[in-house]
Amino acid sequence: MIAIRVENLRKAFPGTQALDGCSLAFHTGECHGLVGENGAGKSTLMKILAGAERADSGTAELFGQATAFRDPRQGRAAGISAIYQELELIPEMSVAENVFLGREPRRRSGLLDRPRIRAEARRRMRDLGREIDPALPVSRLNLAEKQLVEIARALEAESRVFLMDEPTAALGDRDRAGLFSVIRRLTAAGAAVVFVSHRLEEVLEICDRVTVMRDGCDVLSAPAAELTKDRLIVAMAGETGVQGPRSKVQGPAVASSADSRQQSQPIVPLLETRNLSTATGLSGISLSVARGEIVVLTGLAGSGRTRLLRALFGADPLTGGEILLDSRGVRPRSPAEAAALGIGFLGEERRVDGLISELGVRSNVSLPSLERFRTAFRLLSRSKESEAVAGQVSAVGVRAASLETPVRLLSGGNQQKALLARWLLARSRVLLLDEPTRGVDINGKNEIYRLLRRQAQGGLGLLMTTSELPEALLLADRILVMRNGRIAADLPRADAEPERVLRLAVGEL
Amino acid sequence: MTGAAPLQSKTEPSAARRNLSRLAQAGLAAAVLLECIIFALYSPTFLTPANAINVVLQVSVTAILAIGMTLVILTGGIDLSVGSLVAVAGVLAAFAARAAGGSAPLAAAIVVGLAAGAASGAFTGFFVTRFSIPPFIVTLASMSALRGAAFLMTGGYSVGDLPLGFARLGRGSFLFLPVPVISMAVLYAVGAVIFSSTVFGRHIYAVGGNERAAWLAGVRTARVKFAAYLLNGMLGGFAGVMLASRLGAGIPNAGLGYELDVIAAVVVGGASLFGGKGTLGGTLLGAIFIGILNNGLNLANVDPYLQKIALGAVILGAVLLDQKLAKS
Repeated sequence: MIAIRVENLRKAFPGTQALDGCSLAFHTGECHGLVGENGAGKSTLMKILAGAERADSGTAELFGQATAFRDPRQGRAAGISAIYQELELIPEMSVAENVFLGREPRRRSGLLDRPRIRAEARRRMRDLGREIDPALPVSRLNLAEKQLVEIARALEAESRVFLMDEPTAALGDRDRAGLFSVIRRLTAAGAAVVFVSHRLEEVLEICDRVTVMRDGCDVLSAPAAELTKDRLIVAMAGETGVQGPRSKVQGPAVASSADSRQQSQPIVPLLETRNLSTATGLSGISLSVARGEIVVLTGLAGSGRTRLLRALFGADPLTGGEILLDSRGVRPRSPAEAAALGIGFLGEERRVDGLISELGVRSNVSLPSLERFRTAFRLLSRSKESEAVAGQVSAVGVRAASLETPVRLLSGGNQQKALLARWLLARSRVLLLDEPTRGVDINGKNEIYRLLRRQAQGGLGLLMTTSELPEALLLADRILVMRNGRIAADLPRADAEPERVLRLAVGEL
Repeated sequence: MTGAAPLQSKTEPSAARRNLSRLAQAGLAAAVLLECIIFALYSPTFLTPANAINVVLQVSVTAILAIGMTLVILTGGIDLSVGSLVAVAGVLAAFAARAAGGSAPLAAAIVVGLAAGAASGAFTGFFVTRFSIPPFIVTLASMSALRGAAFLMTGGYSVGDLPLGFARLGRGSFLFLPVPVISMAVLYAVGAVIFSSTVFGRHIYAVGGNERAAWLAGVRTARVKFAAYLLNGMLGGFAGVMLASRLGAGIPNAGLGYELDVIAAVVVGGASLFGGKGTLGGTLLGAIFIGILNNGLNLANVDPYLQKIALGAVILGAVLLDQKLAKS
């Protein structure tokens, strides 16, 4: 029986078409795997099914009834439960309380029926194959046990569809085997399980059917028995990775630095790391970024790209290895120290990591450089500051009504440009950019590409991350593929075909 | 979104928010004016120069405390201990004045008062920045501890019989203006310069606006917050000395409940308790508004308890109005 059917789903976010006519069916009693690169649309699809997002167009049916949930609670009430990587349990409450949260059985007096809650919770956990004391606070459980509590909670809510997003990401072998046996129990009891994962061997092991998504739609769907890892990878990468329907990135407008460096500058390493390890789980990181070079970090979600940039900027502690700037060892222990060394940083989420929304363009752009605008008595000269900011802002091309416009009123692209202006004004020589075109419309993206290219030509070294391979191929002089907190490969652009990069990211090469 | 032409190089203060907070301040100034008119009608003694100076004098301690509180609230914090600090500083200042005897009792008192304030501020700053304990909790603790210390040091008695020179800070005059009023003016002027034209002032607004983003922009956020609490403490110490000087004694009960008046002044003045928003000018207007309210209601012989209700209504009204203006 078909549990969920979606037909021609479309969903766009600023700058990207996340779902582009996706049609799928999930059956009861079946574990259905969903694979695809970052940005292929898997998470968006999961969110729409769970009710956390609404599709722009297309239809979704749950057990034959058309659905359009307005929020996850409606989704849950209808029988769909999502189990994300960030678990939604309340750590201070007990296992039993969590399992029954929101639907606690009561006695006739209206008070909670605690003995029943405990007994039922214990029974549920046992059904899932684990003996867990229901009175234990959830915070005392390990991750695998917490996942089971989430599943128990979903079962208690009479879910018939389980959406699991990377459930094995942090599990060891034993716990994974435990989870798989739970999934088998669920499907044997008639539930539909959707299993999203990057780990292709696991998907082929536990799933009955697998669908590959790419560029927002389903490109391949077949019983697992008929599929191999290779076939999956080929389907994920696509034949012409650069010109996917989703990416309208302009190639010719932006000359690669390799071309412009024909007029040979010698390769001067600007930023280098040797065997860097961090408290956040990275190890053995050795890379170099030369003057005038754009190095792009790619890899799956969780591979360590953001953590690497943060560590280089002093935002996370280092546990070993060296960082060299202009061949001198440095060890920035805070962003303030890194900025003083001439490193600039654009975070993944500019609203949280970069912009001070209430303040204007001027204050946001000048923030790291304020000391330079002092005059008599160490007081700030507003005119000096405005002049310098205005110069930088127009060089970068920020469009705003005035320097005093609060930055929250700017478009995404202009916000990113303003943040770039901030670090250019601060005379940074190395820029660390985490997803610099996220949430930016296509024109903004192109402007930012041109800007980055120009800065590289001017002698800066850029180290950036992106989830969009076409973007990486457009900008990079070299591509670093990260996996599991390490660098899996360091490729010159010429050697970076999409399929090869994907295999490296997934662990096939 | 704003597809206007590329940036003009002249800076125009045309931003919506700037205008709004100006509007809010103008609104507050208008409210002060309105107050004066109403109270002048109700009571003949209200609009006399003597009363005017009286109002500012009564407000001066709160207003000076409000400078520090504005600083702290701008960073997204709060300080509940200022009232108790005023008592401790006053008591210690009195002891110092006594000990100094004839030779510059006031100077000794001020030094001791500032030191006590600095110590308290450093204590708070340390626990807030180093251990990330919410300022509400740290200062709740020190509010209690400092009050206890004041009583412990004095056995519950006032520390009086102070050398003559000591009174000059609280009861002296300089160029026909009471010294407290001059102190207040000077401190506000200096404060305004710091807030608007120093790197430190900018950093305060940045940290309050978005601490994480400020940190990632290279601002040493821990230092900035620590400095805010330190300065707040010192201002509290100074205010404590000034109050003791006016009262002629260090009184362990002094400053009781001041923290609420001070926070009220800051909030009525337009600052956000979440940080990042507020001005010294607004705080001053807020302090004056509340001061006039108390004074006017007193002169009109309104029941003191009713006055407290009026104050509560005013605070709520001011914040609601501020929110409305922000949304429009």
